[in-house]
Amino acid sequence: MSTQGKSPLLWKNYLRPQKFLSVAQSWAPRLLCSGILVFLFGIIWGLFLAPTDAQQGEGYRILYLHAPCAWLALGLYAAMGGASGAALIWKHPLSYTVTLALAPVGTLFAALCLITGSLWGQPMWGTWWVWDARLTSMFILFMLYVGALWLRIDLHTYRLREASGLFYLNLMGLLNLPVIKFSVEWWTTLHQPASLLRLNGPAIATEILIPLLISAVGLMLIATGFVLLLVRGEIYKLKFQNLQRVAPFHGKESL
Amino acid sequence: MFKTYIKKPARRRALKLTILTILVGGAMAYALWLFSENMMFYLSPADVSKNPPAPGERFRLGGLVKKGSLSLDKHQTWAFYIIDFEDEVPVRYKGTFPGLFAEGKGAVLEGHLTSDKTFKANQIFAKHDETYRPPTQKAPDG
Repeated sequence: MSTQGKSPLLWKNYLRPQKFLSVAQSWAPRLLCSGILVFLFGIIWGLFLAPTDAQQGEGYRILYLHAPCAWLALGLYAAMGGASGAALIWKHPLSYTVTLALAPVGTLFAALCLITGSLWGQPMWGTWWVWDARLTSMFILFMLYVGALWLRIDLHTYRLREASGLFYLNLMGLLNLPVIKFSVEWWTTLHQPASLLRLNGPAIATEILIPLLISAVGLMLIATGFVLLLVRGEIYKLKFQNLQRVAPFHGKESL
Repeated sequence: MFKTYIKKPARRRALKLTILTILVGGAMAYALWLFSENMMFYLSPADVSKNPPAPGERFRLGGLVKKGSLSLDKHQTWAFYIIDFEDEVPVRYKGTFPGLFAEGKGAVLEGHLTSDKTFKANQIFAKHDETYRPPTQKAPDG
């Protein structure tokens, strides 16, 4: 059936939707299961075994959910922007489906980041929400995700090629990522500066940092598993659409 | 050489998208730079003493609560200083404090300057820093 890539080691093999389908099918449950285990391990360690924070007391523990969600929201958007760029450049079917699959998962983590941050802000800062540069740029990221979800509806109703607006939006949305990262350095904010990726090394004690990283890895595995599951769904939708185009049903209008 | 390289449609599209991204990114960076002052959530004591807002003009003031400066007078008004490494601003405030508010810690206040150069605060937010450590561990310098 295939005319290229006979060796299983050739990475381009995995870009073929059929090959990707089988890989995704076997890997999605593995990633989800191991991710849930790792995440539970990290979050239980963080919530119950990690030491109290000198500054914020027990309330700081929402960090174990808030920070990984924020990192994932940014990371998934970077992937979605990359896939959108690939969709515009190479018009590869996998890049379409990956773009579509990343949007709902990223939206979930961006929403979780905003919600947990708000719950954290109320007892510590004394407010649920302020429009400082970090919170505003993160809110814009959430809106960009919502935009991607909104536009994806058109993708199934109309033909893929006409949906490049979604890919342009996601690609340009990448420009928001450095703004989020550096918002706490370029401007004064109520949000704290970076704790982990900073010039003088992490400002988090090892006992607190380790469960945080474990929780983050767990959520990362869960997110990847979800994305693979959704990619499978998108590939099947695409196949169905192509079938319809090649051999339309009788009385298709009534569908 | 460039002409042969750019013959592939995918390469042409990649080049187009790169140029587009640089242009949009440049425009965005320029806009952010232009409005940088408006993006600031608060002014520091040094900003206030260098370029003081008019009395009555609402703005936010942020910095550290000076150690040993917090006091309560008989009218239930709190007085303290907000400091940075250069300057300090006297503050008057009537109301409650967020849980993390303490002397020597960060705070952001909403309010305005009065004619005697005192900052009258209506609302106070606590600002915590980026360090996370157990209470038994010594704080890093500074």
